[in-house]
Amino acid sequence: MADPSDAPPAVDRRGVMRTSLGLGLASATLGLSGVRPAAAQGACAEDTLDKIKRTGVFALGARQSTPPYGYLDAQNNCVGFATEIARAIHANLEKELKVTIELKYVPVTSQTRIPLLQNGTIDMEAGATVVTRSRVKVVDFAVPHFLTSTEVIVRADGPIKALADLAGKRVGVPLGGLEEAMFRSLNQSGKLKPAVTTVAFPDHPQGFTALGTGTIDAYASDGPIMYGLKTKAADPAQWRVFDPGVNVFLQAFPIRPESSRFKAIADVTIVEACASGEWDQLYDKYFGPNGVAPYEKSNALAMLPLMNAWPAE
Amino acid sequence: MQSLDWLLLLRAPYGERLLDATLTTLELSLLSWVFAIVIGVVAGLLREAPSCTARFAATGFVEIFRNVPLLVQLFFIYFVLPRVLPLQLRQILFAFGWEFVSAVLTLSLYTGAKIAEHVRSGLNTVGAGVRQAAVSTGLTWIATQCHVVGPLVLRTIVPGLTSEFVTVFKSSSLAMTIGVVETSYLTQQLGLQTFHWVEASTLGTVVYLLCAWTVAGVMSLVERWTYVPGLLRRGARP
Amino acid sequence: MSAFANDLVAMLGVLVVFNVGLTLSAIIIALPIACLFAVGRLSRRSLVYYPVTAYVNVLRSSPLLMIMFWAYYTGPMITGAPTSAYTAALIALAAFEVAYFTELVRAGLQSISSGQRDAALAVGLRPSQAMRFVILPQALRRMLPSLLSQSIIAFQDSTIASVIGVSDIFAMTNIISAREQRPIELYTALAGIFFVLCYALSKVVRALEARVNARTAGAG
Repeated sequence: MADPSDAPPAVDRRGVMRTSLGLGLASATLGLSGVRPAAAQGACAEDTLDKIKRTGVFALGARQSTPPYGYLDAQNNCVGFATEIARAIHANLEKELKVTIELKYVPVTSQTRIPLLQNGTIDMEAGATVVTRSRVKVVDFAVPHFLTSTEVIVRADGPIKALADLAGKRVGVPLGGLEEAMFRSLNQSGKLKPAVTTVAFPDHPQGFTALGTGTIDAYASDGPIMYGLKTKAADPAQWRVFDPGVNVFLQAFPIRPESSRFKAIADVTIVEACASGEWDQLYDKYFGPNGVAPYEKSNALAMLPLMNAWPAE
Repeated sequence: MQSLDWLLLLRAPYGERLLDATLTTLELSLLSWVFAIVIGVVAGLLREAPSCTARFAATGFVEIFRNVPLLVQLFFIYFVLPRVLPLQLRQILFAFGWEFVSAVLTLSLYTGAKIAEHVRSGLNTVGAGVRQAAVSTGLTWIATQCHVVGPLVLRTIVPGLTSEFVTVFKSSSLAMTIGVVETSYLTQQLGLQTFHWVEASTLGTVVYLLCAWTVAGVMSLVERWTYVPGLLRRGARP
Repeated sequence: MSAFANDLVAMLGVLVVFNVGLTLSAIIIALPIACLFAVGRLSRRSLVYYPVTAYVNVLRSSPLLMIMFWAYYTGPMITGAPTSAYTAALIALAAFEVAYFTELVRAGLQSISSGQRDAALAVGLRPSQAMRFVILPQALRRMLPSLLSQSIIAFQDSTIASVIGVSDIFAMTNIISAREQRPIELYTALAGIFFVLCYALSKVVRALEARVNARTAGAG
C-alpha cells in the first residue's frame, strides 16, 4: 500500500467549509423553490393503463424468494400463487387492449415494492402485500385475493408452543412489516410479560438462518410464508408453525392511485377467477395438501371467494 | 402524491426513534474504534515480532480481515460464532443483545486489521534505526514497543487513522443487515412506514456527514498536537 | 456433498456476473470521470472547484449503503426515471468510486514535478494537451497500485448491492443457507472465495507497487 502519509486526507477542512457553503446555498434554493419530486407530476398524472399502452410493457413486481406467493422454481422461472393470478391479469390486459403486451418480471422485496410502484418501475406488485390503513393513503389495491394472519415458526422440539411462550423471547421479524408494530403493542398492553425482543432482518432467508442457528427463538411473518419456509427447508420435520391468534388481515396487489381503468381489469380478473373455480385450483396447487406449502384454510379464508362474488350485470 | 415535509420526521414519534438510532450509530462506531486501535496497534507491532508464530498469527489475522468483505464478516460472526461458544455464554450474549455485540466485534476486528496495515507503514517510516538503538540500550522487545516504537508510530500514523475513523462510521451502516437499529436501518424503516423517502434519506445522510466532519475536525486538531517535527512531512518521502 | 458442490458452482457463476461485472463496470465508468474531476480539483476557477470539491467530500463521507438507498429508492422518486436494482447499484458504486479515484488521481497529479508541465508548454502544447498527453498518463501510472487497491475494495463493497436486492453472491448465499440450514459451510466458502481472490489481487498490486517505486526512486 502506498505510504499513508502520502494519501490524501480523508476530508480536508477547507474543503469541508466550502462544501457546507455550497450545500447550504443549494438546499436553500431547493427549499425556496418548493421543488416537488418529479414523479409527483409524472408517474401519478399518467394512468397505469395509458402507460402500459404507451410502452407496450406490463412491468410486474414479482417476489423471488417468498414461496408460495412468488418464488423462482428449479428452472429459475417466476412461479407462485400471486404470480399466476398476475399472469391472468396480464392475459386479460392483452384481451382488453387488443395488442400484445410484454410481461416483464421485475424482482422486488418487501422494502422496494412501494417505492418502485410509486416511481413507475413496476405497474403492480404480485406478492403478499397486506392492506393497511397507512398504505391505502399512498397506493390503491386491487380486490383482495388472499386472507391470512401472522404466524410464528419455531423449532419443533423447542419449548415454544403458543403465544404466551413467546414472553421474554427473541422473535425475528421482517424489516418494515407489520409484525414489529404488532409485538410493540402486545408489549405495551402487557399481554406478554416479560416483553418480547424483536430483531428485524432485511429478508426472510436471514431470519430463517438466524432461527436455525439459535440466534432467535422464533420468526414471525405471514402464515403461508412460514409454511413455505418450513416446506422448502432441508428437513421440514424440524420446524413447527403455529398461529398465535393475534390478528387477521387481507392481502391484495398494490397499484398506483388514479388508475381506475387498470384497477377495473385487475379486479374483474380476480373476481372471475373466484367465480370460475380457478382461484380454488390455484389454492390447491400452492396451498393444498399436495401443494407447495400446505396451509390450513381458515373459515375466513374460505369466505373470500364468496366476498368477491360480483354478478356480471 | 405527497409533497416534501421536512418537519414530519423530526416530530414525535419519528424524532425520538431517529435520535435513538443516531445514538446507536455513535455508540457502535466509537466503541468499535476504541477496540480497533488496541487490536490494530498490537497486531501491527506483532507483525514485526521476533517470534515466528506471533508474526504468522498477526499476518494471518490482518490478511483475513482485509480480504473478506465486511458484510460477509458480519454475517459469519453473527450466525456462526454463537454455535462454537458454550451454551451459557450463548444465552448471556443473546439476552444482552447479540446483534450489537457482534457488530462491535466485527467492526473492531475489521478496522483493527486496517489499522495494523497503517502501523506497518508507520513502522517503515520510523525506520529500523530507532528500534535498533532501543534494543542496543538493553530494552526487551516488548519494552521497546511500549516505550519507544509504539508512541512514535502512533503519532506518525495519525493522518491514516483519520480516514479509518471516518470509515468506521460509514461501515457501521452495514450493521443494519443483522438487525442493529441504527441510522441506516431507521432510514429504511421510516421510508417504508411514512413513504417520505426523500426526507428520510436526507436525514440519514446528514447524520453520517455530521459524524464524518466532526471526526475530521477533531482528528486534525489531534494531528497538529501529535506532529513529530522533522520526522514526517505530508507528501515527503524519507 | 454433491448438492453443496452444485451450490458452490451456482455461487461462483453469480459472483462473476454480478459482483465482478458490477465492479468492472463501475470502475470503467468511474475512472474517466475521476480524471476530469481530479483536474477540476486543481483548477483555480471557482465554478469548477467548488462543486467538484463538494461532491468529493460528500461522497467520501457517506456510507455506500446510503448512496445505494438514494440511487434505488429516492433518486427515481426525484427524477421520475425508474431503475432496476442492478442499475441503481452500478450508479451508486460508480459515484462512490469517482470520489475516491478523484482524490487518488489528484495526489498523482500533484506528485508530478512542475518541470514536466513547463517542458510540455515549452514544446508548444496547449495546457489541456499537456495535461492529457504528458501529465495525466504519468500520474495514472504512478497511482496505479493505489487505484488497483481501491478497486479491490470496490469489489468487496459490491456485496452491499445485495441489501437493495441485487441477486449477487451474497444474496444467493443467504437464500441457500436458509434453505439448507448449513450457514457454517456456506459462509466459510463465501469468505474463502473472497479471501483467495482479494489476497491474490493484493499480492499482484504489491508486486506492481514495488516496480513503480523502483522506477520512480530517482525521478521527480
